[in-house]
Amino acid sequence: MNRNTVDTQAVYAVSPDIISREIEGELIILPFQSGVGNIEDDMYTLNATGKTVWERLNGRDSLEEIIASVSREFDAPGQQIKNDIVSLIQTLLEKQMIIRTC
Amino acid sequence: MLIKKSTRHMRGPALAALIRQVHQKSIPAVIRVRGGSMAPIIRPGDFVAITPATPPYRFGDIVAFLSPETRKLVIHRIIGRSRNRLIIKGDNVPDRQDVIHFSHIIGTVTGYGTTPAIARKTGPGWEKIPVAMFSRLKISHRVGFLFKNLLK
Repeated sequence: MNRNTVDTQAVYAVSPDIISREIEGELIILPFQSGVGNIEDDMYTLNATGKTVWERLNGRDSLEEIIASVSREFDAPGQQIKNDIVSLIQTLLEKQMIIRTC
Repeated sequence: MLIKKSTRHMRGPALAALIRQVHQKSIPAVIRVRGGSMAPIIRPGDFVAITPATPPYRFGDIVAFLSPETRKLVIHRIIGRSRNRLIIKGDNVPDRQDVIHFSHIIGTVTGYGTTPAIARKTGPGWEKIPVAMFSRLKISHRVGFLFKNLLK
């Protein structure tokens, strides 16, 4: 399986090779796998749902558990939330901002 | 989309804090220069790589500091020293210089260029001392283009 393929049974955690900072209520994430913190081009931001998912990437809860809890919290259609979260995790994996722990 | 590229324009204390956070990982921070005070060697739109810096700071070094007056991040050149303070000046600013305490220094500029990749490779070299000397004489803004051409 490609390591960037999202597995809802997997457990993910925030990579040690990122910097995150809350600025005026906005969560900014800066990956630095290239060996430099490119503040100009490489900063990402999450919306409210994305931030909730990010905070739950604790290396203990499976993605399926996170999807379920976020769906309850945001009272949104389950499939839509799942699609959005899987897409988010896909991007985070591709940018190496998260790692799979098991 | 739950995630997107940030378009936030970082500035001042928030930018300085983020650069310091990057430096805690022992890597350089790359930012884009918006002013022309170091032109033509560093032009508006150029990228600079800022690495963590500790004393001794050397004559001719280019440093990034948070101006205690304007609270803006400034990138200028060291043209002198007085005890634990540095005399700082923009190459393209003949009539103004600042005196700042070491503690205001965020880092040293170790690279600059038109792209982040170039900024990682091309840094101040032999020219920094003569440019600093011309800056003290308030004529670096007139001769800067010579250095820029020589550095190509």
